[in-house]
Amino acid sequence: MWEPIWTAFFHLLEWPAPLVVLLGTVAGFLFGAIPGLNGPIFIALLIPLTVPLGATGAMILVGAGMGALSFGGAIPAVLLNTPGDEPNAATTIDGFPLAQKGMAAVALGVSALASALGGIIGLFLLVLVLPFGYQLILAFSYPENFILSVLGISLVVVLTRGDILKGLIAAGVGLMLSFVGQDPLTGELRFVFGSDYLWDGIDFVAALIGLFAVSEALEMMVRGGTIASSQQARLGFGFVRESLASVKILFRNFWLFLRSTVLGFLVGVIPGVGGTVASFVAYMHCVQSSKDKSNFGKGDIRGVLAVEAANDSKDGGALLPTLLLGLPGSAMMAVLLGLFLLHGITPGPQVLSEDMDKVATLIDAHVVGNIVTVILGMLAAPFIAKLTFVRVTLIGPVLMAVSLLGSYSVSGESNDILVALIFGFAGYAFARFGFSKVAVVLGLVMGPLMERSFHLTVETMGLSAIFTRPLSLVLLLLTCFLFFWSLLQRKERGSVAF
Amino acid sequence: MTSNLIHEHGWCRKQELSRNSSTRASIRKFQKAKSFLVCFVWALQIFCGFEGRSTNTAGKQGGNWPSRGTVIEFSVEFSAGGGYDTYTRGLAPFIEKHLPGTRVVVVNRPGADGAVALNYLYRSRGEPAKIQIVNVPGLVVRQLFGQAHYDLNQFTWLGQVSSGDYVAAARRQSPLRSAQDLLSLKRTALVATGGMADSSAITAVLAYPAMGLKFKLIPHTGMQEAIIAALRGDVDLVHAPYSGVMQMVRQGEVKVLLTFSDKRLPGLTDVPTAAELGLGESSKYIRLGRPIAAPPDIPLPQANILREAIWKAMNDPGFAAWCKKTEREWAPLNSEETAKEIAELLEVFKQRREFLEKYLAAAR
Repeated sequence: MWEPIWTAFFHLLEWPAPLVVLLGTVAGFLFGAIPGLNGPIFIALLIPLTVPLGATGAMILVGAGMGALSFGGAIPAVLLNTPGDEPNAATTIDGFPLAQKGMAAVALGVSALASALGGIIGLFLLVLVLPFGYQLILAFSYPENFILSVLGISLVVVLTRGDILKGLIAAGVGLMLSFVGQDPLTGELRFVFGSDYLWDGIDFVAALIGLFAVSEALEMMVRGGTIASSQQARLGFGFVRESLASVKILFRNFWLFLRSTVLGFLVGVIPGVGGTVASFVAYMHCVQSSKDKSNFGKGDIRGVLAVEAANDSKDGGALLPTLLLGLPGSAMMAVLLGLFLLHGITPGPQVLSEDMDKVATLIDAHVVGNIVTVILGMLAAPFIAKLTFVRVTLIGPVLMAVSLLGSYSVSGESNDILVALIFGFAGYAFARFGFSKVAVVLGLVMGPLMERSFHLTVETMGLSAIFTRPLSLVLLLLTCFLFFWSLLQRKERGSVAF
Repeated sequence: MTSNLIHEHGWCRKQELSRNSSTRASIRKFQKAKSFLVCFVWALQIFCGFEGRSTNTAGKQGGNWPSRGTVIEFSVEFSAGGGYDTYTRGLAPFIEKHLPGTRVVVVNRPGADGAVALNYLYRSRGEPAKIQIVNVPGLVVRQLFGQAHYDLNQFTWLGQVSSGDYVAAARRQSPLRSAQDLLSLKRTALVATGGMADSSAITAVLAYPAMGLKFKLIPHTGMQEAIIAALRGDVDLVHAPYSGVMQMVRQGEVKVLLTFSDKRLPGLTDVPTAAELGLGESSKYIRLGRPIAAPPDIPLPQANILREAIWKAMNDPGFAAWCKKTEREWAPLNSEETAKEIAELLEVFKQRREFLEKYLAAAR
């Protein structure tokens, strides 16, 4: 199993492979960083370019790019409170407050490091579990997915600072909005007001861009000044100092990092659940397992560390069903599957014997892409972080324009721009009146998963399956424990985070 | 005197400072107002620009169409990934090859099982530079149920790239081991489909009642999730295009109980077709079509140029080799055969409308 991995690694050193790695990494980095442009679009656009490169070249280009996507998405999340991609929504919770404190460089450094190492460990886990991955993929069914979504929603208790009622209202708004569109079981249309645009529900990417990017642009223009205050600017710069600080933070919280990585990998394995759930579950675990919770939501570096580690390691998990069964669990993996087939890689257990060299090249390129990203990221972090000292009245209009273009670019639908604008104003109002925007996102993400998996549980196994299936029961008990433990802690120590 | 001067000087400084701070505040206010204005204008420009783009008629060109540099928009009705997207991206370079000087750009326009993209194509009347692979029969039924803003009879049909046969498949460990086991099942069978009104659900509703099978549709978000549900054993069987389960069949994880093809499928020669079991003529309509359409009202010369280019592209040895390499069905039909097939589908489903409505409601 490990031999092809080593062999492929040496292929990456042969010219022009290093150039392809660099190109893929830079492209992935840019795609991740621009709100609206995401992984599936990135790979879909690369596919025609991979034809002349051949199978090995294609694996190198795409693998390296995938390694850079996640950190690219973290940059606007930290600097502008705007997630570059959906899973980076959880990065904003602590990333942006850190930027406001003048610690953007450290947040970006930790983010790059956690992304890269998380990605590498995720791929290591993938190689480790490949021989018995089949059982792992099939272990999660509708009841487990339902409990997982409940676990995600219960994160509101952790996220909400101050009035918990406001947190619940925000999550409720998100849930209600997630019910717009066709009923997942009967196909009946709900709240679409005669518009076919709303049949599939509110576009999540447009809503996310509105809630974070557009509302942040509005907030910037109202507030004026700079993102980070000038007094704290001195805390920031100096490449060596920032890099050392990032490494120190990672190793000081190594167990948290490792746990978040494993969590991200496991959630990534479950088809149809997605990276956003992985990020939020990791964040929840981070807050729950920390003794000092007072800084979460106000700029705790552990919040960035856990989310970014899980966000990158989920790629390793998501590759498992794609490689073993040829059944992609996410949109990005669906496009990747197309690439596999184009280059003659037939997914299935035989992939371990017949095409392991190409798969190993993809895995190695992903690892090297991660390493290049961490180097580029840590080199660039102090310079990118200077953006936090630019007058926001200059950043605001640019952010607004890029965000609206990003919302349009996903599906070429002009209504998405309207959705982004409406959510932008709503997000601004939410922030003004102390409602958590992240709780709205939680509702939007978990709503469809919760509704669908609940219906399917009842239809196929009956409600009792939630209590009779061992894995589902364990997850249920864990969710109850975490929920009530959080409530109890809120009561004892006062509120936490956001 | 001196103290007066100092006092006066201090007063002046204060005045100057307060004047400066009020100037600074005014500048800040001005900057904020400017930012808001720029934002507002950009937002308006972006929205109006793209809204205009959705309904523009710039694609209309007379004379020697297509001129050099013409951009052909090849829309996909679903997100990136999946069969329709892959076929579109696979075919696009060959259309470029047979329409020299043009650039074929693939655009994903997902929504409402393809209806959003098809509505958009329908609105682009007379524009030859917009083409799309249409999800059939899903979008045929949507039109019959009055849930569409298009009329399939009016599109300019250019050809069909492939059509796929549906199969009923169960996991390796399932007690259902053959078509006979399925037909003699006493209880209600749980049948996984890719959606609640997509092509798999509609063809399932046509297929199983004709066999006298009691069944319940279990809709998922996409075919992949439906197949995984079958692998887990959460449902009795999955109703899927053969290409979707082919890998699983080869691995021995899934077995096909019966097919809905005209004749026995290669590699499944021991599996009976539904027609053999007496499903009759409907098996002809239990298939996933991939016809290519352009908007209605395209001038005939331009429509013919497109038809010829697409026919050549579909029959290009390079495209055929690509289909073989990626194990995708390759069965090109010309524009006339495609238009005839669509008209036939509309007629057949029209006759079965009440039946479909009744079963789609009851099967859930």
